Amino acid sequence: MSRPAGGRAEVAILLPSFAPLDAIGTHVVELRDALAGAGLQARIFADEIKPGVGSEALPATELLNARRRDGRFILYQLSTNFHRYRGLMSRPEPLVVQYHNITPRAEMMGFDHGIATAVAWGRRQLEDLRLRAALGLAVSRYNADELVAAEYRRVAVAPPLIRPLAVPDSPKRYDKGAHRLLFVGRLVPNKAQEDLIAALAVYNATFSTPATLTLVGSTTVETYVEYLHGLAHRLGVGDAVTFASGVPQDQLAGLYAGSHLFVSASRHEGFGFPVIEAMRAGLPVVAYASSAIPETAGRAALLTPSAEPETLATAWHMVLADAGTRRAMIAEGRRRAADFDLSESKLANLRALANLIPIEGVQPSPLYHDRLANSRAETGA
Amino acid sequence: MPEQSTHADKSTSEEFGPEASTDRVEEYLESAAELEPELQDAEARAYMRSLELRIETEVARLRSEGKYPPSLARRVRTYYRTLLPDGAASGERDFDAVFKTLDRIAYMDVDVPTASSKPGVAFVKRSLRTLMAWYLNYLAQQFNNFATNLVHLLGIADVRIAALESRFDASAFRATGLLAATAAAKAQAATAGRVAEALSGTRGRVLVAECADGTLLAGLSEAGLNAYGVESRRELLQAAEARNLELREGGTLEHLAGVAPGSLAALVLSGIVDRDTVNDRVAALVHARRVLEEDAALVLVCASADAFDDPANRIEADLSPGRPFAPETWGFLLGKLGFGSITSEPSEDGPYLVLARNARMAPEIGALADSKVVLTALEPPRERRR
Repeated sequence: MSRPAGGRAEVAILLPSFAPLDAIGTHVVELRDALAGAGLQARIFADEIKPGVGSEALPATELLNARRRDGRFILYQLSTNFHRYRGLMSRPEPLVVQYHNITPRAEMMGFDHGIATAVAWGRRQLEDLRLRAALGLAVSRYNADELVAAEYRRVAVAPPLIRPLAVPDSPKRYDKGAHRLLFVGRLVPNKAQEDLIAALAVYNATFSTPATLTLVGSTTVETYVEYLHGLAHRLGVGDAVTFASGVPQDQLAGLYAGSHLFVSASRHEGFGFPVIEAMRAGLPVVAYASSAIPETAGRAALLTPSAEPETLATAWHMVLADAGTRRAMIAEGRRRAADFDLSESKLANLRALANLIPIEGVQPSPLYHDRLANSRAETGA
Repeated sequence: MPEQSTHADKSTSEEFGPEASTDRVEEYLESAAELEPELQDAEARAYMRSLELRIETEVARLRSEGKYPPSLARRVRTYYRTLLPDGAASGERDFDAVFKTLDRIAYMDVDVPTASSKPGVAFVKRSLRTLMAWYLNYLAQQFNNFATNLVHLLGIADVRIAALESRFDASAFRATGLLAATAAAKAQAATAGRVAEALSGTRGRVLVAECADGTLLAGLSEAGLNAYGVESRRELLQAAEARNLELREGGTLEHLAGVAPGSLAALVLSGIVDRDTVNDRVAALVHARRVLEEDAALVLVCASADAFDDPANRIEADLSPGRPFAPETWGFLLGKLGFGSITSEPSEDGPYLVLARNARMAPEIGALADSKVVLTALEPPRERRR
């Protein structure tokens, strides 16, 4: 374990793009504060620094071109491709790869070849970085399994840091007017908003109380957004679907407060931040049980075995039509969200990092995977 | 044998050291659970399965009440496919779109742009391009030769595969609706009572594929069975819909591929057993082996060769890639695939039933295990979107 020659250990948090409101941007700011609170020197470095967070981060080149310093650790946030990753690979400092997952290329094919190529490149980097990573840190067991499959030697799991939204506590009425359904997530094919739109068409054709669907998320793939608009129009629910992008935090909090049900059909999530945000806001959650969603939602969500329109519509109706189910889900959701309490999650991240970085007063958490220990156990050494 | 100490026996605990602590044991178990994800997985799987059952039961109820008619599903699913951009799925149109893109981009351009807004940089770039041209041209020429030949090879392969498909794709005839009045429909009508009798007392989901106009399916539902049907021919489906039955639109193999393992209490196969290719029939049996519970019943409703060749059935007989099997052939195949208790019930008027049980033992697919047919049948559907 590398120790500082003198002074405090330094953790350089590196990410390709740093934006003020996205999940990873929030995570790294909170992680930096947690590390600083534990007595370490922590700074954020990013290749692209979006407006609004200029004072929070330094250019990635300052880290990648800096002289070696004993006691410095690099904590790289892997969620997409990074065109300076060769520079990262050549750094001598011990490296932690914190993995938020990368969408498989197949999800993007046909919609945007550029993004498809970029995510494929990101997944290749995930594999290459195993050669340099002294520790893989996954935000879910689902992600941890991918790190193990990519042959990372040591893997720990710690949840992402989700900052609470200031959601106004307003009582919801389920008995009057249309039911308001909400999904939060970028408009990209793997989030499968088309399945939500199709299910909305089935729901409104079948059940007497109509529903509306608000899709909050930035446009990442233009052709996909055009497809969603076309689908909503052709299925006769164009007026019932609202697309909202660039939504500020206070408005997002208002949307959580004003909705009746959080819905998801996403096929690929490395964690699923909005599920926890919804539970914190007292929204029942119905989600397709894909990728990391069951692990994140625990027993607090109604998880569907498929994203077929009839299945989703039925599950929505089972919650919207039954006050007892709703109350139980909301209470269980709040309990589940408490498992991701920000200060507890910070401690979990510090404990996971303590498997590599010396942090005073913090005991390392058990590793999820330790190839060396496993091979010793197998050989009886 | 020495007497055992108990928690209540204070003197014994003092004698043997520190007192036992329930808290410490719980703490140990909690930390041990952190290290044993498989335990959490088993618990999570059981919970997930209970949710799935709740939702599936409710969907089935709504379907059987006619709340989710096949026409609604058809309308919704049509637009998934038709509005998708070319290249986003795996159909013929997608192949053409991706092939066109590949043809366009399979070329390495060494003539790099040299413009720059910074003074002098454009000159430096131009100089570098000139200096490196001999090297980059050499590499690019090799890559471009390779890419051009590869694209050409894919084009040849596409033409040859398309020719094969047009020769051997028997399903094209089925889509025409010419086969609406089939020997299978008659066989179902003639054997409905006997099938209901064979399956009486079955608890759990029963699938009838294909269900034709729903005569046999209606008989099973009236007998109190939790049955649903699959049919691909629109006119027959509409006739079945009028009987308020739980229905899905689709082909037999396509539907079976999406059914969860061990989720059916009985399976009735009809149509595919008379007129499809040998490969498709074996694939259906392999699926049956997978989707049926242990000891669950498989019923094959078969037309006799005579009934199939009846003048009234001439179009179907002429256009079908297969002919009805003899009961002995079914017995041979089912035995090879690991089914047990195989019997056949002939009738005087032609159609006959083959009954079998999904054996308790692990699948012993036997001589057919390494055949391409079996492997294909076990593969998940390739289409990413419906």
